[in-house]
Amino acid sequence: MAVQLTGIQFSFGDDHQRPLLDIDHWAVQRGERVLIHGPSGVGKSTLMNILSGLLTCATGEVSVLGQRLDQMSVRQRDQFRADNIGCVFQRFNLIPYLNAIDNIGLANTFSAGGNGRWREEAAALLTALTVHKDSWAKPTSNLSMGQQQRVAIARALINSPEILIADEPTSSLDSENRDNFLSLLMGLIKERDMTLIFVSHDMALAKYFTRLEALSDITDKPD
Amino acid sequence: MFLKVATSSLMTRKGSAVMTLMAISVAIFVLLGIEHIRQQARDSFASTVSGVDLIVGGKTGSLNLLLYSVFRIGSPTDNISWQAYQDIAQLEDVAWTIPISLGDSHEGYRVVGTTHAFFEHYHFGRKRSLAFAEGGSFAETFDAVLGAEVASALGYTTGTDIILAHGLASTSFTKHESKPFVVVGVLAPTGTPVDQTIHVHLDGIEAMHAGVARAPVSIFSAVGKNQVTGSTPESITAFMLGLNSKLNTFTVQRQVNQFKGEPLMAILPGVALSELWQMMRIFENVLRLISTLVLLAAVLGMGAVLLASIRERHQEIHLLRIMGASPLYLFCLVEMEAIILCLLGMLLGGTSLYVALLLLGDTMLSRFGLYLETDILTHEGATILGAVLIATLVAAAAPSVKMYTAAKQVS
Repeated sequence: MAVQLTGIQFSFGDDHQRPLLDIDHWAVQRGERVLIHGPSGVGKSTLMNILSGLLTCATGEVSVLGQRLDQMSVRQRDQFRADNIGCVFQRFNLIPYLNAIDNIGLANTFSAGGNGRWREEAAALLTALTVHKDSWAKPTSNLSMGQQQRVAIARALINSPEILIADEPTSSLDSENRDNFLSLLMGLIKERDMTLIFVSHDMALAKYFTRLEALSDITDKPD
Repeated sequence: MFLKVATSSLMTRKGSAVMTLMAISVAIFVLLGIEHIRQQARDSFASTVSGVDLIVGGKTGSLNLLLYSVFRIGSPTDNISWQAYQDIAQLEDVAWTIPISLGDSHEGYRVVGTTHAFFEHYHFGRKRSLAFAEGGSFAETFDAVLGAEVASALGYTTGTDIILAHGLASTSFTKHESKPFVVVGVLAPTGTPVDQTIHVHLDGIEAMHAGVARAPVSIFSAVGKNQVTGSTPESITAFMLGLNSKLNTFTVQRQVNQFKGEPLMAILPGVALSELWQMMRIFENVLRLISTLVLLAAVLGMGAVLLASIRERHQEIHLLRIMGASPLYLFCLVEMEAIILCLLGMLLGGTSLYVALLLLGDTMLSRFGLYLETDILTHEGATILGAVLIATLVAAAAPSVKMYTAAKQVS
C-alpha cells in the first residue's frame, strides 16, 4: 500500500466544527497513477501537504509506504519526505538563484544516503527530460516555464522516491508543453514503477491515469 | 552545497548585501584600527625614554619627577646641587649621566639645558637614538638644538638667532635679550616630548643667567664619568643616568634615595611611564566603547536587513521544506549568510586597514614620530575578530529564528 488514510480530519486554526478535509478511509496502491480533480479551494493542495508530511492532522492515521507519518517527529517527516516523496508544483519548483544542476544537487543533499553519483544521475534525468545541455548551468530564472517544470521533475526524482506528488504542475504550461511534460513524466513513472498522485482541475488529462478521483468523493463534507 | 546556497542567496540580494558588507567593513576597520593605534601609542609612550636606567631629582612624587624631567610638564619642587650631582655621577656603577636644567622658555616651548651626552645616550622607542635632520650638536656655549616640532612650528632652521625668556609664558617680561642663541641643529621627529623642546648647552644657561657676554671661548665638553664642564653651575633640575650593569639598578636607586647630602630620589622610567599610562585608561576605554558601539550598529543593521529579507523568501522556504530541509537547516542558512557577510567584512576591513597603515605609516612617522607597525593580526586583533563573529551570530539570531518559525509553519 502506497498511501492509506484513516479517519483524518484537517482544519486550519481551531475551526474543528467544519473541517476542510474529513476522510474516513482512502488508499492508493503501489504503482497506481491517480488523478485527483475538483474545483479550487476544496483542499486538494492541503491533502498533498498532508501526504508529504508537511501538514499534520488533528486526528486520524496517515500511513505512507507503510510508515505512520502522524507518529513521526518533524525531523523524521522531513527526512522521510526527502528520501521517499518527490513533489512538483504549479510553479516555484526551483530555487531561483541556483542553476538546474545545483537545484538537483541540493535536493540530493537532503536524502539520507546522499548519492555520490548524483551528477551522472542528474545528467541522465535531464537528458531523458529533453532539457538541453546549454540550459543546465543557467540560473533557473532564465529558463522557460516548460524547461523549469521538466527540471523540476528531475529535481523531484533525484533521490529515487517511490511516490511522486504533483500539484497542478501543468497549469502554467500551454497545451503543447503540457502534453510534452505529461508524456515525459509518465514515461519516467512507468519506467521506475512509481506511484503518482496528481492533482488537477483539468479533466482532459484523464487518459494518462489509471484511476480518477473527485476530491468530493474522497472527503465527507459535513454539509 | 550549503555554502553555495548561502552565497548564491546573498548574491540575489546584492544591493542590501553590499551595503551591509560595507557597514561591517567600516566597523571592523574602526575597531581594529583603534585597537592597533592604541597599542602602538602605548608602546610608543612606554618607550618615550629608553636606555635610561634611572632618573634622579629632588624628593617628590615619582610621577611628578617623570612629568617634569621627561614630559616638561609641571615644575620641579627642588633642584639638585652640583655637588650632589657630581657625587652620584662618580659612583662606580654609573656609566654616564645627562644633566637637565629647566626654567627657561622660548615662544612657549621649554628650554632644556643639557650636555652633549643627551644626544649620545638618550634613546626612545626600541632603542632608537636621536638623529639630526639638520646640523649637529652643540659646539659653542650659545648653540641651540631644536626639536622637530619647534623648528617646523616656528619656521626656524640652522643659523636662526633665538632669544630665551625666563619662565614659561611666551610673553615673559624677563627676556635674556642680550644673549641670543644660534640654532646649530634640528632633530628628526621622535614622537616624544623631545620634539617640543629647545636644547641648549648647560654652560649656555649658566652664562646667560650670569650675564656673561657671548664669548668665542669654547667650553664645550662631553660630560663623562670623570669629567664635568669647566664652568660649574650651582645646581641642575634633574639628571638621567645609565649604569654599567642593569643588575645594579636597585642598588644605585637605593644609594640615591639614601643620599646624605640632600633629599634625592631615583625612579625607573619604564615603571613610572606605565604608572602614568594607567591614568589614561579611561581614554582607552572610551575609544574602545565607541568602536564597540560602531560595531553594534553595523551588526544590528545586518540583522535588520536579513530580517526584512525573510518576508520575501516564503516560496523559497516552502520549496526547501518540500525538498526535505528541516527548519534547523533554514535557521543555519540565515546564520551562514551572516557569517559570510562577517568574514567578507573582516577581509575587507582588515585589508583596508593594512593598506591605510602602509600609506599613512610614513606620514605618521615624519609628522608625529609615531611608528606604526602593519601587523594587525596580533593576539588582541584575533580576539576582537572572534568577538565580532560572536556578535554577528547573536545579531543574526533574530532573522534566523524568524526563518525557523516560518519554516515550521509552512503549509
